[in-house]
Amino acid sequence: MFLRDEQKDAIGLTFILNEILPDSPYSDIRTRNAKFYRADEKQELLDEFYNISQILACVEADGDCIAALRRALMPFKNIDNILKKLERSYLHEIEFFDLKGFMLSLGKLKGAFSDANIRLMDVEFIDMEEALNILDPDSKRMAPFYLNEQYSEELWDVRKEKSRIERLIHEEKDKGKLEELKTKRTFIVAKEDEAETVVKKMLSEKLCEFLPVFRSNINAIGKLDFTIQKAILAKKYNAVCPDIEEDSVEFVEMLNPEVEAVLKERGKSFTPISIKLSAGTTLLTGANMGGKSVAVKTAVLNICLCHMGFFVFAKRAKIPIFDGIYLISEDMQSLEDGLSTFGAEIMSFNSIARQAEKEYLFIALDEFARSTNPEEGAVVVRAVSRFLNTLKSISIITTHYDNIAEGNFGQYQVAGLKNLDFENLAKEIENSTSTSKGIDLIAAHMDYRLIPVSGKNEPPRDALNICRLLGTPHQIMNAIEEGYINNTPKI
Amino acid sequence: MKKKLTELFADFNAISIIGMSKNAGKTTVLGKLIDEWAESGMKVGLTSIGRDGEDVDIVTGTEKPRIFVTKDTIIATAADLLKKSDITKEVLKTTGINTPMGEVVFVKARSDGYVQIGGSSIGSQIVKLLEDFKELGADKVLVDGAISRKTLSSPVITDATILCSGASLSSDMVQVVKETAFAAKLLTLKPICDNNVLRLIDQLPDNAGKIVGIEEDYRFSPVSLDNPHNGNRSAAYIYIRGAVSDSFANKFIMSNINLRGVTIIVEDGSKLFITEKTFEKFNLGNAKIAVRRSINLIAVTINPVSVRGFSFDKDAFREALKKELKIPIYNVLD
Repeated sequence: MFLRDEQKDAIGLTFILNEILPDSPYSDIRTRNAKFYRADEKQELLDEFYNISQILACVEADGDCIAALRRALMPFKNIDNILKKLERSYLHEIEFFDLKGFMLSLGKLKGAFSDANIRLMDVEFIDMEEALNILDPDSKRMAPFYLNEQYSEELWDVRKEKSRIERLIHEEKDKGKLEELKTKRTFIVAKEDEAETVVKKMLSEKLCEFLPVFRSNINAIGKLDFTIQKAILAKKYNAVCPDIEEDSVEFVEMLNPEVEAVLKERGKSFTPISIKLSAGTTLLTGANMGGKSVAVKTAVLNICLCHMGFFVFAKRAKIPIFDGIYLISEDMQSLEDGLSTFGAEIMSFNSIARQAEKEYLFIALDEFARSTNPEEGAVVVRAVSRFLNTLKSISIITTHYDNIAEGNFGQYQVAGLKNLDFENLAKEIENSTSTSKGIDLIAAHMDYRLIPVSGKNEPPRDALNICRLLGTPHQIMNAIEEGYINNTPKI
Repeated sequence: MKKKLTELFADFNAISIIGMSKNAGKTTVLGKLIDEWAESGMKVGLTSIGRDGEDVDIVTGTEKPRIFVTKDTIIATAADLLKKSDITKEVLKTTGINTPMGEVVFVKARSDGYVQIGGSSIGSQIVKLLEDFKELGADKVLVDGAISRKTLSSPVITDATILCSGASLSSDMVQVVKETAFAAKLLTLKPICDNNVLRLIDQLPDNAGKIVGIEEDYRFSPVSLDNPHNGNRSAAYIYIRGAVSDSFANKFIMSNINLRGVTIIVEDGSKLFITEKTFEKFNLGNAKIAVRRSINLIAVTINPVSVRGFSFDKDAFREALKKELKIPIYNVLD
């Protein structure tokens, strides 16, 4: 896997995976070890997308047919352990009951699936009537199971004898004779047990031949369940099928559902992010409150989801299949090694850099080297940017260091407060009474869109503007402005 | 002719049977009820609240008797115990309820035979089992109940309860009568009828602690055994969650919690594991004990014969208990 658990949490992938509530026990297994499609599995990935779109089309046309399918998925019980046991030993009544239940449920699912009339790639249910007949010789097709007397003559005889003795026991009044009968019954019970064991072995042996059919059906159940869940998720968030194309990543108005949910709770909305990333380095600069991290994490989230065979949260998306997806972010710690944040970042970067020489990667560096001193940090970021720009792999680097972009990089800037009517906003802030109102107003006016930057660009002055808006004392303001004029931050 | 035991339970569907001690005759009572009902054409279900102990009673060395059921009885028991049953089994349903002895499954007896019953000890799961029994067509369900600090469930979830007592409890008949009468008294403690209080208790969060005070005006007040400010004023009610052991009850009495005029509420009578003496101390302290839910104790059965080889005079035993209790008393050996 490409990301560690805490990174999955940070980019909002855990949030998405937690939204998946599979109906059968088999999809659960698939979600946990969610498959990551590799470049040589492009066809399978496209098939998966095709399957999702088929189910979505079906939901659009008739929501009930998916509901019926989901209901048919619910009764399944996990029989993996029973199948494992069947490989090496014989089964008992309860296990036979569970296998029978599985086959009865499969019959219903098969029916619901053909009623739904959906054609899915690589999802096929194999008929199990023949195996079901082994456990249901009377063809009653009801849930209960017992070792039928018809299975063997010995069983037939011993059961008949058992029932005869029990009738006698019921009628017997004499204590001595009663004890005699009870002893006799004990022997018969032992004989019944023997006869039952023979039958159990015989049934198990017969069922053993169907092991591959059981497993193939389990696979199909899991796949159908998981695909339905992916389609439900796609519908909920208006996700789209990404174009799998080489050489560049492109998102039009992508979203991060977790961040969106958090913002919604605070009465705010998520600004969709559009970005195009080509081979080499793309820099993302902008004010600190501007959501650079969110942009990068949202890109990583959607690229990951695409590789896991999910639709992506955007209006449109182009994504290549990478050999690896990596994120180095400020909230990453290397506690076990006792390294500083910077040390941990460099360690991770070194290993990614080595891998990037051989493989096609997506590399996201969020505020790389921010924890070291600014002058050195800027030097490091510039060197790293230049190195990554020589590769075929696609890298995105967010930084608040200025003047990194003196190479031939792609560059985006958070629009920030650039296009703002400062005088109006200042008045608004002045008129507001609460102390935190200023921050809220700035956040409300912050333009989170990413604007492509071409050539040399004025460094952002959002920090200066924020100080001004928040009523920083005059003497300090003057000193800051002087600094900007005389000593435009340089490295 | 004396009334049959089953006649007492004509109006009840789920009946729990609890024993004062091992070998109190619980198994005999279960067998008798199953037999009588089966004879009258009723479909009987059988399960248990947890399982009280091992196959062999360590104290007396007597084997824990298996229950004899007649053909067509439906049992809900743990998978591992099913292997120790000698009925011809038809598996009806699995439950997804897992116990250390395997999953609880519903099985129909296709022959007579001995079964061992062990089920869930969690109340909500037993309630689910009772619903399943109904669905599977059982007219009467017997719940083999263990009174034990370990069980989370209680006879409250059944419609009616039988208490089984006998000579196995003690060789002193007076003592057995006294203990049985006291057990019956605890089981039949009156429920609290103030709906506001009941509602408050229903709404209690899980982390509210073991003891919760409720004021006259239906507000919670913090009460704990080691709070020095408890004594300042008294709550109208004090609710104690879960089992109340004798040592806990004594700590409670000895603490500085003001108990004068307070109604102490416990979940139900089966959660009280206190001696008569301790119970008296509450009375002396002018505190009343009430329950959140009442147990419908319908009868007490007695077994005058002890497995340790002695027996009481059955008539004297019954008469002595009759003086103490207002409910029917049955001798299981009659």
